[in-house]
Amino acid sequence: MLSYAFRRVLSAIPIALIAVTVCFFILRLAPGGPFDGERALPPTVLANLRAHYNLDQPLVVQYFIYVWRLLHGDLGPSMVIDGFNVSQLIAIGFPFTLTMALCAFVIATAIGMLAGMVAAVYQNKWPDYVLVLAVMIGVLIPNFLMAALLQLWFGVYLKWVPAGGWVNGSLMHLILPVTVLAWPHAGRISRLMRGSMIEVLGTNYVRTARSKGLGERLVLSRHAIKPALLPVVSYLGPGLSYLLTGSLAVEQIFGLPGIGKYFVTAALNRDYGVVLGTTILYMFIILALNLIVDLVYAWLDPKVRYR
Amino acid sequence: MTKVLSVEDLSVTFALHESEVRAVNNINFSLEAGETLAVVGESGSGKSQAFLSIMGLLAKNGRTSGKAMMGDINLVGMEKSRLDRIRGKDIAMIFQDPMTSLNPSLKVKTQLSEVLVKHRGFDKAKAERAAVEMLERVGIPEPVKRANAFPHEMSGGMRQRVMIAMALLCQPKILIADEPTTALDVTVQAQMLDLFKSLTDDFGTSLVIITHDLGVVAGVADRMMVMYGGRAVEKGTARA
Amino acid sequence: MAGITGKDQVLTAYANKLATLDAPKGRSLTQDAVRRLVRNKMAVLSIFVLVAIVLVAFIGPYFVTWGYSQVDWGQIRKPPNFDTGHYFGTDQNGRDMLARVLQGTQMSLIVAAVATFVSVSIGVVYGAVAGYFGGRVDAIMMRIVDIMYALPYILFVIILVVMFGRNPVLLFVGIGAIEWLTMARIVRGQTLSIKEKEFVEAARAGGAKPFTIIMRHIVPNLTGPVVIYATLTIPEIIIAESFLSYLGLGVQEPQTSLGTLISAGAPVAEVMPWLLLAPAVVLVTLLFCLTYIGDGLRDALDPKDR
Repeated sequence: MLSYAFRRVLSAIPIALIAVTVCFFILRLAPGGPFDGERALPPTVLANLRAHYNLDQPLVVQYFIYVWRLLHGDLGPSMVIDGFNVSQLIAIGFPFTLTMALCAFVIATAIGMLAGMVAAVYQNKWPDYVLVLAVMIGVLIPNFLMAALLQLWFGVYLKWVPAGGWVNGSLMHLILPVTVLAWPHAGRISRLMRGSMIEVLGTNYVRTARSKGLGERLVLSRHAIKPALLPVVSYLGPGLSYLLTGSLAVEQIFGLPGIGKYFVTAALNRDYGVVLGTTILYMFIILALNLIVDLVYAWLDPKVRYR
Repeated sequence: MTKVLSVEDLSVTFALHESEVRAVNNINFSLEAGETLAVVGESGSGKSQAFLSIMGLLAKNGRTSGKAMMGDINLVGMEKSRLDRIRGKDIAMIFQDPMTSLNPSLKVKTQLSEVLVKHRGFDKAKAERAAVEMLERVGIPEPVKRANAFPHEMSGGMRQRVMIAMALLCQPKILIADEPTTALDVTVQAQMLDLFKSLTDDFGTSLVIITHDLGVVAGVADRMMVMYGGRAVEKGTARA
Repeated sequence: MAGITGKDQVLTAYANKLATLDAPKGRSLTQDAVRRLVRNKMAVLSIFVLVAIVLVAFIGPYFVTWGYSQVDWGQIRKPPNFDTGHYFGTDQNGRDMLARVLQGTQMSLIVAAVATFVSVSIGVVYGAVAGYFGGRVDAIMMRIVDIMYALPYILFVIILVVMFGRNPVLLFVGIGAIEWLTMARIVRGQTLSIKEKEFVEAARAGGAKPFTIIMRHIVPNLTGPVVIYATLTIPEIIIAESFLSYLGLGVQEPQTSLGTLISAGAPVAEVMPWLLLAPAVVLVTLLFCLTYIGDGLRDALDPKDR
């Protein structure tokens, strides 16, 4: 198990490096720069600025400077927001984004797994139909529309929760954003869980377990759930990364102080440092999540370890 | 001789989209204590479905009618919770494909011992000891090590032995073996049949062997029943 | 947004089934699939609704008295009213909502069609090439796909927006250009198994060039996955487009799309709910229809129990 983990970690490193390279060059080869703002800067100021951020060097040199700094954990300065470097901006915004995404993740995964199991056991009966509808609604309605409808109904008409904005530490302000974020995730999880559970319930080994007279409850809890979790687990990594990127949007919609705010502005202003820094952060998170998922997978399915 | 199972007018139907398929059509037979009955027929003749229906293991769209009496209890149409007190204990089944019939995510000892915990009320440690004993009895070398293994770490013949051990843990009155040797190498097939014979003799268990291979049954069966198109078309003693 | 509707899983499961089962014999694939699709009532209904929406979106504007950017100075911020001819009401600038919803639907549909076409084309060609040549070419090409999977999709989209600016068509060529990963994987898997078949060997023995073999023998056998992928990708792109428009990065005024309309309607929904509800209903109907059709097609083309 340990050597398997080690091999997986090693194979993630080249992917990370290549991905950093791809991001860097795509972003830098795009037309426009951080200083072609609405009012043109005097040439000398512009030259000074460019020199300050190493933008006057050849692109390849800039790349190596960037990677060298990155290896030291330095994501470089923001080119638009004065006096802040990218790490500071991330430190301000990311904890909020992460907290919200994790809240939504835990809630949605739990609800999704439970709902999927119930639907599988009651396949083609009413709990199944209700669930399928709830999943469709959650997955198909785009998050900004869902946000608008929920804000209107629960925030404005019923006045149960605040419709938007942020008061530090107020849980009430998080209810709607987390719901919007969690619903589609719960939907996808439950759909996966339902599908794999139905499949597992039809396997020979579940039939064997039933033939032993274990009783349906034990058959489900001991024989069916663990194998049925496999596809769900392999989705959790991508799922969490959807939640993290999805929360960029939800923050924007509800006016919450996460990293999404900086990212969208930075992209519009071509603030290379911030865009690249955020992208790399997310990429590393996604790679790390995939790694964790692989390890959990190896634990759930003993066969994987020997490959 | 006492009858341990008598089946009367057993029929199995499956509901499809708009039609119904009758897989088993009014079959009648009985099983004496300690005897070996071979059920022979080509694939699709309904032989497996007949016994799955007795075990209450049909697919969701399957429906059973008729009677399958064990003593004075009718297994057909019995509530699942009552049936669960009988199957695994008094009537056990071994399936065709040992590769997929064991749970890949549970250790062998868990899958064995849970039967004893459920039907005999053993505690976990005692059940596991009994499981290891049984593994030894079905001819598995190093039973303690094997009990701690996962199914995928074993060969097909070894897994089928595990299945046999699992089915016989509670010394059932009836053991139904559905094509128990089909998925195995020819060299292992004969060993497996001998094992069946000797173990069921030891426990006084009646054995039903479902197969499409007459060569398999010739040596071991006392009586046989031939099925074709869902009907029992012929019955007789194996050595006639 | 990639995988937002769970299409990757749907499709991977479908491809796995294709790989494990032999090709059906007897009745032709399309004949059989159509027969099964017609039996699926939800899918048939969805097809009718979808066709209706498409027709109305493209022909409707010729019958509406108001243009989508035309201002009716006497009717600003008015709720739906049959006497003034504004059946869906007017917005803050006095523009007819019906005309704007029609134009927005048109735009969303065009954008989705373009992006889907791009992504399916790239996916099929890339996957077929990787699968056909195999070996090192395949290993490198699939490694690239793996790396692209690791990139945060939405950030990529936003970067693309910045690159291509405000040109909606280019923008969605761009979105299509990063939607093709799953398609490529599936096509590759299919190609790997198809290229071992006798008819491909026969073609190769007859001296056909790789390109001919790919286009003539391999691509036609990919109809099932491609059709399903396309129907499931369209709603995804519509969502992505409307989301970008919502962030102010998509289609620009006075042109509009369903997402732009929703984003304009959402903040004022409290006082002028018709501005939000009209585009929202169209968008949701569209998405539901496309999903039902996609599901129906998947079941109809399902190689299992045929």
